[in-house]
Amino acid sequence: MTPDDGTRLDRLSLLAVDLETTGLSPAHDEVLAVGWVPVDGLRIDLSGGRRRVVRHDDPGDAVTIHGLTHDDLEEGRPLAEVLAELRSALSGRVLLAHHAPFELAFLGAAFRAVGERPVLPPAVCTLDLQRRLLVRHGEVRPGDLRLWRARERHGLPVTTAHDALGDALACAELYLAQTAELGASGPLSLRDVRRREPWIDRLRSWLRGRR
Amino acid sequence: MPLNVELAEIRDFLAAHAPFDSLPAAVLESIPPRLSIGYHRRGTVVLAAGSTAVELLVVRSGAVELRDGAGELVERGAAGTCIGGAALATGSPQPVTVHAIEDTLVLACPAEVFHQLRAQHADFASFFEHRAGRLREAVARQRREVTGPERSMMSSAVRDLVSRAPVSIRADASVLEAARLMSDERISSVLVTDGEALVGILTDRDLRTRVLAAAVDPAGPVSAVMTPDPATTRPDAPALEALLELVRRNIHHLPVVEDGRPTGMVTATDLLRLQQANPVFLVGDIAKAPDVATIAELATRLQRVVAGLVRQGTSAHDAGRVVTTVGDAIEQQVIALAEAELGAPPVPYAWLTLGSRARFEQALGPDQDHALLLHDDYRPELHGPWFGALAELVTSGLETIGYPRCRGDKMATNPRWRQPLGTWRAHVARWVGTPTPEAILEASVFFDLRHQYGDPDLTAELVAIERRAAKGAPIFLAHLAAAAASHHTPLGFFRGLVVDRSGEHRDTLDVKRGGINTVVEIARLHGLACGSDAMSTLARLEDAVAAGLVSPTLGADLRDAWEFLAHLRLRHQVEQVRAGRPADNWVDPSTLSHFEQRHLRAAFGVIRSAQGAIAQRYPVRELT
Repeated sequence: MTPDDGTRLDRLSLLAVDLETTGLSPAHDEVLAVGWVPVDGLRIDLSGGRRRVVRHDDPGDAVTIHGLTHDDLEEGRPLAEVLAELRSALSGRVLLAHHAPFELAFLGAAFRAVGERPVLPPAVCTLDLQRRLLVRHGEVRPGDLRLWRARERHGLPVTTAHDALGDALACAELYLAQTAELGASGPLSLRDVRRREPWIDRLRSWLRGRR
Repeated sequence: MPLNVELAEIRDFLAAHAPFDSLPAAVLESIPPRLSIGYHRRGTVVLAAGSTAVELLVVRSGAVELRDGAGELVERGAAGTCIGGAALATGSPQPVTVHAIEDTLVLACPAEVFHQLRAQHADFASFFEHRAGRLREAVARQRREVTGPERSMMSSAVRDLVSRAPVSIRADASVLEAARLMSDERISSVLVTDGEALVGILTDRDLRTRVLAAAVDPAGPVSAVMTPDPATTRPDAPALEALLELVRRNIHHLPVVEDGRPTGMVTATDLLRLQQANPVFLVGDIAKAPDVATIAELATRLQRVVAGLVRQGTSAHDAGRVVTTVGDAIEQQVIALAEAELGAPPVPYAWLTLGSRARFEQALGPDQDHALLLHDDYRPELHGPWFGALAELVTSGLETIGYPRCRGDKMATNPRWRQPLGTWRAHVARWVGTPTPEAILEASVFFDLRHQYGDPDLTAELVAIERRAAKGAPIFLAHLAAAAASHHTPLGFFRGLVVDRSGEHRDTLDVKRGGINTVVEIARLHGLACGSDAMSTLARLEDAVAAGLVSPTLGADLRDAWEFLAHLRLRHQVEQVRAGRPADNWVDPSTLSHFEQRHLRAAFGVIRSAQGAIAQRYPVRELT
């Protein structure tokens, strides 16, 4: 069962997800690998950490970025199988990602590509949370919202791994740090951290300004 | 399924920190998927005292502080710090409260994984056991580490003597080329090779007898004038064997060959140097020295002796004895030379050695600590000038040799410390009867006292006076106790800095004041309290244990702590001397390995518990 908006964060189950793709366009590019790791309340459960490479015959140039070889991709699993495993891992959980719209759009397209309805759970976006934290302290500069910059600000270890599981884990750790900071004044629930479109924040501050 | 190589980052992190660093690679690989990760905001409690530990936490980033029930800082730790391990291992409640002092990411290892690792890996298990047992192993390992296989001075191997890579020249090179090479490299012989194989040797003597004296053309080939197929030795051959080879053949150079290839050269000078590094020879040479300048020259060899001792894994206790013996020989010879200059003493006297050398614990770079004990027939107006001159001659002589004057002026040149026995008796009565802070400080110097030169009966009498006075003076002992208990012993290390109880950080560790001296004071206190005749710290501790003043466990722990600290200082000083710097007691904590930091923390812990035991036994609180 998908968690409802009132679920307190210390009881909220999430799945941090990261995708490696051939490019930035969900319409034209494809998923090369998926990494995920569950977050149960305030704990990241490494035993549930997975990285699945999607079988691919003509991966193009993106391989060099992700360090995936053609052999890796040829030995990968069919997309439908990977998506089925992800869907089962997501069951009862909220999706957690850094820049969640990207993951949501690619997963939506991928589900459609294998002929399935893209049923996706509510999402928590660490980029969105980072923006909210930074806005509290004033101007947000370009680059501040990137995953590794955001981690740095929270004193999280700067690591070198950039595969899908490594980035999912990096995102999950960032989430723990962000919610600890956001929740310092009182317990939070899912509704407080759900992804909101940036225009909602702008609208709110505009409304505050008028009052 | 291939292992989660994606969790390599976490595996690598564990592999860099104790006790995980002791686990085999395959085991390390299996751990990350069994962990979870938690996060603690700055200021929050990570694990409260009294709670039940259900997992081992390892700080991944950030920092934590451990405080005891009274809120006293026990430890401060950054990445790699283990939390809850001791409680898990013993099944007892968590002893201290752990706070995050920075936003902290922790790896959590479930109890079942923890217990499995403990059951299967002894090194992992012992990390969480009683700290003293670990310290004992550390002392043993500390010595093993520097030594390799145990070797005595005279059974050094040839490889220990080889100080530089071999210099060689091709057999078809000209004699002139060979001579120029030898001149450029400042060597007295060159190896002649054909490919990698050694085919001959050319020495200064060959150039003289077979080239110059025989009027051979220097443009001719080296092969015509070299000694073909020279005698050689192996790197693992005993140095003594190489020495005998040189003597038997009446040669000065012996190439070292391994697997047919030359790897070095042993010369007569190398072997001479080996002999000079033997303290027995050194003491013998000092006793024969005709003047202070010669002694000063000989004294420079002491550093090589100590370096040799450290290399051989000698304990700090034994090394201290050797350095003391050489120091005694120097002081005795300087006094003898001064007496020879001044003529016979007008009344009997004893030259007293104080402080670390009196305890047989001299390190490198000590200053002078001595006093003069004169017979009660001493008349200042008559005999004063002779003894004043003696004190000055000896002190300035020792200064020339390299022992700086005592900054606290605890020297025979100070008239206060150049007195007849009657006055010393009054000094003792004053220290013991009116234990002001100054008196306690003086007592701590003058109760470590040993006969050095002159009439030993005088010294024996003063020592007996001191022993009697101290044993029956509970208030004096309480003051010594208060002083010993008041020293600030560091807690441990935090990001390359020393942390003390107040939480302050320092970038240097004073091994002497921060540790060694406190053990010395503890041992002195207990030694005096039980009327022990012993002077050295370890012997005093032994006597205190025998007298029931210190528990056998604490006694053994203190011995290990002292040995670990003293050995660390010894190595530090040897390295300083090797680098051409004066020896001191200041260790840069960032140069200490994790292993050393961990065991220093254990040693500090032992010292603090001994200080605590003293505070229980003596009314130190009322005195401070």
